[in-house]
Order: sequence, then structure tokens, then C-alpha cells
Amino acid sequence: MILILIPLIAALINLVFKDKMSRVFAVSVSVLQLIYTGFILSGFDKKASGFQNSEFYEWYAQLGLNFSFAIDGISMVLILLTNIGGLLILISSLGNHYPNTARLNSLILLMLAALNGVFLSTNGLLFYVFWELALIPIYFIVGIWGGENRIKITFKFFIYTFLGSLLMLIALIFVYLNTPGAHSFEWSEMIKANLSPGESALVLWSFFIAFAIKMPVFPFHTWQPDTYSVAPSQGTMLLSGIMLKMGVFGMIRWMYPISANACNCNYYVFMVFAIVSIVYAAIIAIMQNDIKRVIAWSSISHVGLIAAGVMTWKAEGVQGGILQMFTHGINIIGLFFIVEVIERRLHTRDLNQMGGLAKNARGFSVVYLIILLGSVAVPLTNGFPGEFLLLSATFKSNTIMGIVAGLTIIFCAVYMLRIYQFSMFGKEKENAVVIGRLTISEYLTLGLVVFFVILIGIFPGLILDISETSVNSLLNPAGGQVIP
Amino acid sequence: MKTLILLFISGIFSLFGGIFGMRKILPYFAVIALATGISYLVYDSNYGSENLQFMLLFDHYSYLFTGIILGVTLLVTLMSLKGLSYNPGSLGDMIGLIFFILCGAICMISYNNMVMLFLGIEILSIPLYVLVGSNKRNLYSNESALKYFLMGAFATGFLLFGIALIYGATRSFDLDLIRSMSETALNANPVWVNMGLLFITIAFAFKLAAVPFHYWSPDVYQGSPTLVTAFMATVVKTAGIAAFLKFVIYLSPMLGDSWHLILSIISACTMLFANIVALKQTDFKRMLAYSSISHVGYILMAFLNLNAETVSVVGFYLIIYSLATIGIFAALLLLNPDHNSDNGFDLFKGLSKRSPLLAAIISICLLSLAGIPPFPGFFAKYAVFKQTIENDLWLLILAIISSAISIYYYFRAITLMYFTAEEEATSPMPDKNIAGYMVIGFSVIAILVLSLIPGILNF
Repeated sequence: MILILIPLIAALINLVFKDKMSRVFAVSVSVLQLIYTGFILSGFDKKASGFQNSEFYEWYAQLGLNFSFAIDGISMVLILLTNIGGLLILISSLGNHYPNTARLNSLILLMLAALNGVFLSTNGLLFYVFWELALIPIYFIVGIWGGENRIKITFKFFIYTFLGSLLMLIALIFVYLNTPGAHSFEWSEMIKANLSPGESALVLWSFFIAFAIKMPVFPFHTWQPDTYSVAPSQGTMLLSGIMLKMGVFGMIRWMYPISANACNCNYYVFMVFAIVSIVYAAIIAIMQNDIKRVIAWSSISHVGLIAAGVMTWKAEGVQGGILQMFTHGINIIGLFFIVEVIERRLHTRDLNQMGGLAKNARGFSVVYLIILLGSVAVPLTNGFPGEFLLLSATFKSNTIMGIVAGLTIIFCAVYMLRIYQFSMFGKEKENAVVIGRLTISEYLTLGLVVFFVILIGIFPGLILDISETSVNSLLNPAGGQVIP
Repeated sequence: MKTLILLFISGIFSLFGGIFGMRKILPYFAVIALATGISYLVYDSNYGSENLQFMLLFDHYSYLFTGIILGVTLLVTLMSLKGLSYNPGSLGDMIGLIFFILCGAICMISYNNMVMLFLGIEILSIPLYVLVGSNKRNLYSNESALKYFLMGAFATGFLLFGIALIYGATRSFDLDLIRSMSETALNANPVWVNMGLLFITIAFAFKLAAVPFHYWSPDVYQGSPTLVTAFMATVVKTAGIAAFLKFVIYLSPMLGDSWHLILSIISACTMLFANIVALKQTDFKRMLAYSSISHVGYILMAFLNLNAETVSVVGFYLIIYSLATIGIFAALLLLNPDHNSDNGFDLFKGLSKRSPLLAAIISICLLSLAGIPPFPGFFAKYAVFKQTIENDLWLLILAIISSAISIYYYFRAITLMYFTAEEEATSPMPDKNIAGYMVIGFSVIAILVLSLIPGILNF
């Protein structure tokens, strides 16, 4: 509850400040938020299955809507990601000169409140409310501070995601009406709902479309590249770094446990979608010339792998998915920030107009490379353990799909190294602008990202341990033997 | 009862006050009279129901909806403290007419006899025709008054025909007697009963502007003075829905599957058609007209599955809808104090730069109308959806699709307000009208409070 209230209240207070003060204020709020998250993490019992730190307050009892929050291992990882990501995003925005920064910061804080709410709530309708609440600030962020053609693109984005969430609302109400005894939206009651296999499949599909739009998975991805490339970088970081994890989280927390009755064949269809999006997005990423678009498409490809792993619904895949959500969140924030660093100096994102940037920017090129390798999933960087778990789970569940999904390793290396090569090496262009020294806020953001890339790369157990017990108890409610 | 008498006397007083040069104090008088009316209502409601010779029945139901219309009228009258500038000469008449409309609305809400329903609808409609045409030098205002009158007369014909048929089948005008006779009448005269029900339903559909009987509504909304439009979109709609709901609740034993099907088709068409057509509107008032039509469609969904919660669900929906609508109309009046000129979307271009407060307020109202959580419009819509999901899943899915469509036009204004560059801004500086800001402030604060604690409206 406090995790939601801090940014929510700060977002309101922040409106009073002028731009300069508001930057300091927003960053200090997010530091405070991170400290509080650390405090929760230190009190978090990794061995206990089920929810901890439960809170319950009545809101609108007639509708079954209550403030019920709780943390388990899965949401702990995502809350950690949200608050680390929030800090990174706010620090990274220190170097920006947008008009009305105070309002932008307020919207970012509001967004963080909503995201924390999504990950914390254990009431279905409350989850939906926060899910939608997260949509409003990002709509304004993209719409007000976005680039060219933003109005059409934000419209498309908003209507697309809103349609998906309405489908989810139907599914939630439907499950609610089938809960045993007095109807309830509480998670523990909703998973007990009596659904026939047919009904389960319907619910499953409504959930899937809602979450697939958010992630996004092929064929629901068409809003994503435009929105990512038109949004201001803070908006893109929020969207890609944290917001798309809402979709995967929704699958793990809500979709699978509730519609456990449905036929397994649906999962194969979902996996095919996910695998198609891995390959399809990777191929398109190779063809792009706008760095931001390359990374946007790469995000679809990566998320496709996460989705495929989670859909195997094996401990290995889900654990890999959770770890990869964390690392992907950190890495993609770093990558988009690198794009912004380049864009601040060169005023372009076109690969053809770059070249030889490495010459005058040693530190920057090293940092860039480390984050890039993290995305490519080189061993000892944070991308590797997660990707390995995901691929192995996919492979075990279906060999052919595993092989096709494995192509991602090659494709990812191709498009990532391609942008590095085009931008950092090669001949300097005639009107070359040098990267030069980075500012303190830039160093700080990139430094933190690199720190996490290496830390998680060497000790993936830091994240895996947090979620392990919860994942096992989620997959085997009876408490059977599970692959470590 | 006391409220009805008070309102009637206030109406006559306002008419004479207008003649004897008390125009300046009349709006204040109206506010005080309405406030007194509300307090009488609260006082009366403590003493249970009051039955007036089986003609009017003041019970919990009637107190609820009367409270809604009086509260909303209070807001509209507050708007008129400085408004109504287009016709200052006949201010007394106009306020008098509003009071008479309220008398009619109370009859419609509290009727226990079909004759009172008919009288109520007529008492409400005739002053309303005059109000719509009250900007007498304006061509559109005149046109819409005439249109509204012709359509209203038609609807009245249908209503009378329906009442007569029902009377023929059950030998009574009294709701309780009709209800008790319904079984016998259905067996003896199924055609009369069903035709009667159909005619009455059509008459209500005319009054509520449900598709396909809605064609008058956008023209009338656009043509009438903004203040009157706000009044029509909230108070008149509330009265019509309350009357229809009472009819449906009382006569539910008569309503067969075919009637159920007809109403669900009307509701589906209303939602879909209104939302799709609203996409293409260039005039803001016209767009709001279609928006209010679509909300009628949502409310009608709740009529299909009657249970103990129906009344409170509909009441809750109407309160939330009225608050947001009044807020938007009051903001529109501040932006464009001229009641009858065009209200293009240019009014909103770049408003967030001119007046961030007003832009934020309009956005909150629009978001609530669009039904986006955590704004209370969502809770209202959700409550209606919950009523429907068990028996009419197809209707619910259509409702969801049309909600998604409606996002487009509600967000068009928001987009224009916030996403327009400074250079392209065409929105005027809003008026500095304290009364207008009071109304907007009240509705927005109420909306925000309701989104935090929606449970306080528990009746």
C-alpha cells in the first residue's frame, strides 16, 4: 500500500514545484521508494510459499472491489524492477529539456504508482483498475511530449490496449460470477472458480488477447514500433522496461491459474504466436535504419521468447521468464537511454548518418558494448541465464519450436552488433559530431545499468531465489517435486 | 408531496416575478426554492411512503430519482446565474418553465396510475418545447423547437394508444391493478396487451431518444441554447428513464420473451449506432447528443434483468452520468458563452495552454463518461454489465465493443486540448464566471470523491 501511496502523493505534490525543483524532488522520491522496496525485500521470506505482507481494506464491497494487496516471490521481483527502473528513468530525465518537466515527472510518478498497484493487487477488479490507471499517464506522456505524428499513434495505442483490457474485464466478471459461494474477486477465490473446459478456454483467450496486446506478441503488435519510436525516451523506457511486464505478469498470476481447466492445445497456439513473433520481429529489426526502431522490434522478439518460455508452464520456463523480465527491463532501459544519449548530440537516430562515434568516446563505447552484450545474452552478462532457461524449457516442451526459438540467439547478435558497428565504428561522417564527455546523470544511469548487467550475469541466483518457492507452489499447488 | 407543491408555487411566483421586475433576484430565488425542495424531500423520506389516492406514490423509488433531478436542476440553475444572457427579457418565464418541468418530472417519477404518467409527460414536454425555442431570434432554436414538438406529439400519440390498449385488456389505469390482472389479460387478449406494451415502449424510446427513434435528438440538442441542452441531457433523461423503469418493474409479469428481445435489440442498436455516428460529428454539442443516446443504450441493458439491485444500479449510473454531463456543459458555456453559435472542436484546440484547470476538469468528465477506471463512470458501467452478463452475453459483448468505439470521440477532445502545439491553438480564453466555476468545481469534486469512495452512494 505504501509503495503505491508514496509515488501517488508525490505526483500530486510535484505539481506545485517548478521544473528544477521537481527533478530533484522526483528523483529523491524514487530513491526513497527504492529504499522502502529494499526494506520490504529484506523482510521477505524467500522460503515461504504463498502471499506475504497481506493488506486488506474495503473499497466498494457491493461490486467485490477491495484494496487487497500482497507480495509473493513473483511480484517481489517485478516490484524491484519497477522501482529500480523508475529510479533509472527519473535520473535519466535529468539531462532533458522538455517543456513542463514538472508535469512529465508527475505523470511518471503516477505511472509508477499504478504499476506497483498492478503487481501488488490480489483482487481481480483492483488489478483491472490499476491496469487501466497505468494507461492514462502513458497516454499523456506520449501524446504531449512525443515526436512527429504522435496524435494518430497514441490514439491507435490507446484504443488497441483499451479493447484488450475490456476483454479482460469480461473474463474477470465471468470468472467472478462462477466463483464458489458468495462471489469474490479475491485471487484465492478466483482460482477456485468452477469453469467447464470450454468456458475456461474462452476465459483463457480473452486474457491472452489482453496480455498479448500489452506485451506485445504477434499478431497484436502493430501499435508497438510506432508508439515506441514516437514516444519521448522516458515514455519508451516506461513502456518497454516496465509496462510490458504487466502482460507477462498477468499471464503468470491470473491467466494460467484461473483457466487451468482449459485444453493444453491452446497453449500450443499461443506458443506458435510467441515463436512467430520472435523470428518475425528479429528479421524486421535487422532491416531497420532507425536505432530506436531496431530496439523496439528487438523488444518484441525478446518478449516473444519470454512468452514462449512462460507458456510451457514448467518451473524452468516460468523462472527463466521472471529472471528475463527483470534483465530485459534493465537492459532495454539502458539501450533506449543510449539511443537518447546519441540523439542528444547527433540530433538523429538514422544509422546511415552515424559512424566512427567510438573514436572520441571510450567510456561510452565500453558501456554501450556491455549493455548490448547483455541483450545478446553473452555468458556472464545478465541476459544469458534467463535466455538459457527459457530456451531449454521451450526445447523440452517441443523440439521444433525450441529450435526455431533458438534462432533468436543468432538474429539478436546480428541486429545488435549491426547497430553497434554502424554507429560506433566505420568512417566518420563529414559532418561528424563527437559524443564527447557524458554528463553526470548519464554516467550514473548507464553505470547503474552496467552494474546490474554484470551483477545479475554473475549471480542470477539473486533474482531466481526470490521467486523460486512461489513459482513452485504456483505450478504444483499440491507441492510435488520440481526441477530446481 | 410538499416538494411538488413548493415547486408549483415557485413556478407561478417566478412567472409573476418576471412581470413585476424582480428579474435580478429570480435565479437566487430559484436556487433557494430548489434547496428547500431537496430538504423537504429528505424530511419526507424519513416518514416512509406517501400514497396520494393511488394516483401518485411517493416512496423510496420516487425520493431517489426526485432527489437526483432536483440536485441536477440546482446545478443547472447555478449555471444560469449569469447565463441565460441570450434572452434576458423573459428570464422569469424561463425559470418558471423549469419549475413546471420539474413538476411534470416528479409526476412521471411518482406515478401510480397511467393517467398520471401521461399527465406528467405532457407537463414536462410542453414547457420544454418552449424552452428549446426560447432563443426566439435564432433560426436553429426555432427549428429544433418545431422538430421536437412534432416528434413529441407523435410519441404522445403512441403512448395514449398503448395506455388505451392496456386499459382495454385489463380494465384499469392503476399500476397495481394492471399488475394483478396481467395473467388474465394475457390469456384473454394477448394481442391487445402485447400491442399496448409495444406502443408504450416505442413512446418511451422516443422520449429517451433510443435508436431508431432518436433522429430528433441531435438536431434538438444542437439547436437549443446550451443551458437547455444541459437540462435536457440530464434532468429530462433521468425523469424518462425513471418512468420507464417503474413501468417495466410494475408490468414485469406481462413482459414476455418477445418484449425482452425487442428491448435488447433497441439497446444494442442504440449503443452501437450512437457511438459509431458520434465518431463523425464536427459539432461538440451534437457529439454529446450522440453520447447521451449511447448512455441510454447502456442503461436500458439494466432493464432486461430485473432484480433487487436494478434500481440502485440505474440510479447510480444516472447520478454519475449527470454529474459528468453537467460538468462538460458548464465548461462549454465558459468557453463559448454564446448559446447558439457553432461549437466546433476548435474550441478545445490547445486549451491546456490557455487554462490548464479547465482542461483537466473537462478531461476528468470525459474520462468518466468513457468509463475508464478509476473514474466512477467505470463503476457505473461495470454495475450495469454485471447485471447483463448472465442472461445476455451477446449484448454485453456489443456493449463492450461500443464502449471501445466511444473512446475515440471522447478522447478526441482530450487530444485536441493537450496535444496541440502552442502555435495551432485556437481555443478562446474561458470566461471568468464564478457561478460556472462553482458548478464545474462541484461536479468534478463529486466525481473524484465518488471515484475514491463509490460506496457512499448506497441506496
